[in-house]
Amino acid sequence: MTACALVFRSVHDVLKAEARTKERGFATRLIPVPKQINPDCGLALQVACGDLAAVEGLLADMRERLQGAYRLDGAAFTPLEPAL
Amino acid sequence: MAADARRYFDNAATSYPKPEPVYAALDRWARDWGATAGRAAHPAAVAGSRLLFDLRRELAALVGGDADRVVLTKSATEALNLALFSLAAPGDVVAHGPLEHNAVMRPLTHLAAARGVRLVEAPGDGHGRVTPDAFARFVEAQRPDVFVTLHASNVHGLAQDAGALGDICRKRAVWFVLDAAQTGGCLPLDAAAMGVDALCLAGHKGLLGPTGIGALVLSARAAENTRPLIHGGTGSVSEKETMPDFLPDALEAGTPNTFGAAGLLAGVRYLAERTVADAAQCEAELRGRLLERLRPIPGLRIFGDDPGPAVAVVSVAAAMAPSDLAHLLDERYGVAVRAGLHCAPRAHRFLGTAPAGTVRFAPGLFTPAKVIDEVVDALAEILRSPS
Repeated sequence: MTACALVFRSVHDVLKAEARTKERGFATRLIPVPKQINPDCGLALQVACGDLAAVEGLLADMRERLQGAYRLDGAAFTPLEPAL
Repeated sequence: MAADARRYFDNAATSYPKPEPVYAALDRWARDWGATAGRAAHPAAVAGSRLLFDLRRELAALVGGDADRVVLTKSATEALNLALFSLAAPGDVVAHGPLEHNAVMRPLTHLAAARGVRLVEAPGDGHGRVTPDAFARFVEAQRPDVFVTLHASNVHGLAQDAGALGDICRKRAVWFVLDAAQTGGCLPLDAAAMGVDALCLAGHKGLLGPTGIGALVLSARAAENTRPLIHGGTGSVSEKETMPDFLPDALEAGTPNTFGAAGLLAGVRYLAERTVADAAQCEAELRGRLLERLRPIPGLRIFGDDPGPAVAVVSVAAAMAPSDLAHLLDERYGVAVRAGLHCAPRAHRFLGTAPAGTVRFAPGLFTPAKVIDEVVDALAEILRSPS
């Protein structure tokens, strides 16, 4: 399974996204974010890349809170064009 | 020596005792986690972040708010200051009721001096409650920009019809700030349905948490108009030396009070399970019994003796000075009450009890009914034999 990640502007937002996706049965989890992407709390929402479009649809009302979508290649985050 | 929980009648100041899960949550947090929330990705810090997230979500569900717009504060006072300093613009007309606590009147007095805000007092009924009909006429005449008032008086416990007042504010585009320090957890609240723009809550009273934590629950339109009281680190947008422009971070500079949050969350969960309606029924029964037993005491003036919605808070005045009466209740019978002005001099002026104030009896959810009788008997005995 290829993993992707969504990075949000705040801890509250990433926890909200995690709660909402888990409630809908997505296998999401919190992971650290490299400091070059976000110098702050360093939490992102890991999502199976195959679920990314569905998760972005579920979180459409959080568009303004999303800072970026990434593909995980080991420890590296490769930017994706977010659909949100 | 620990306080006598059975005869603690000062729950309007701080609830005591707390439900057992609150003590357990405080202990567990201190021992097992205890890290700063929102500042790192290690498990302890994430646990703190989850704690704050859960508190916002479950508190919002309890009071009819949106978790995205729950700001955690150190007290209801801070929540009121945040709301008033955000919503009252220079030159605005700010209305309040006749019974307000100094947590409202002191920031308003400051805003009058610093921003030229004009303060106007809405008329009260015989107990000082702002009634919807009179308020509608008052709003028509005064055209306030902001209305701030308490939900229930901390002096006599009677509640105002906040939903009806909020409805008038909504129709007239008046910001509605509700001081729910005495009613959070004690009376059912639905901020959205009541038209409240800024619901100000104390965590340590009816919500059954520890001191040092409160909350501000904002409407969507109020959330767009807030500004911080203090500035500092938030764990977000750290590359900038200005505050974030999104909630809750914008209004929560500094290390969050996770100990307080752990205790408050346990209190909120206790109330959610028990239901606030049940807590309100308990408060009503305690209040009813207290009033029933107080009425026959000769020479006693009772404040708040009215069948309207209320919390379990009743004030009395007698020939003896309130401070002396409170002292004798404590010394002879181990009863803890609060005497004086209760930080609400305006309310006492309205009730005619300034400057000495009253003796306030505030039983709580865990006060046995028969102790009400013992405490009132003690009061009667002191008044019969003061020396």
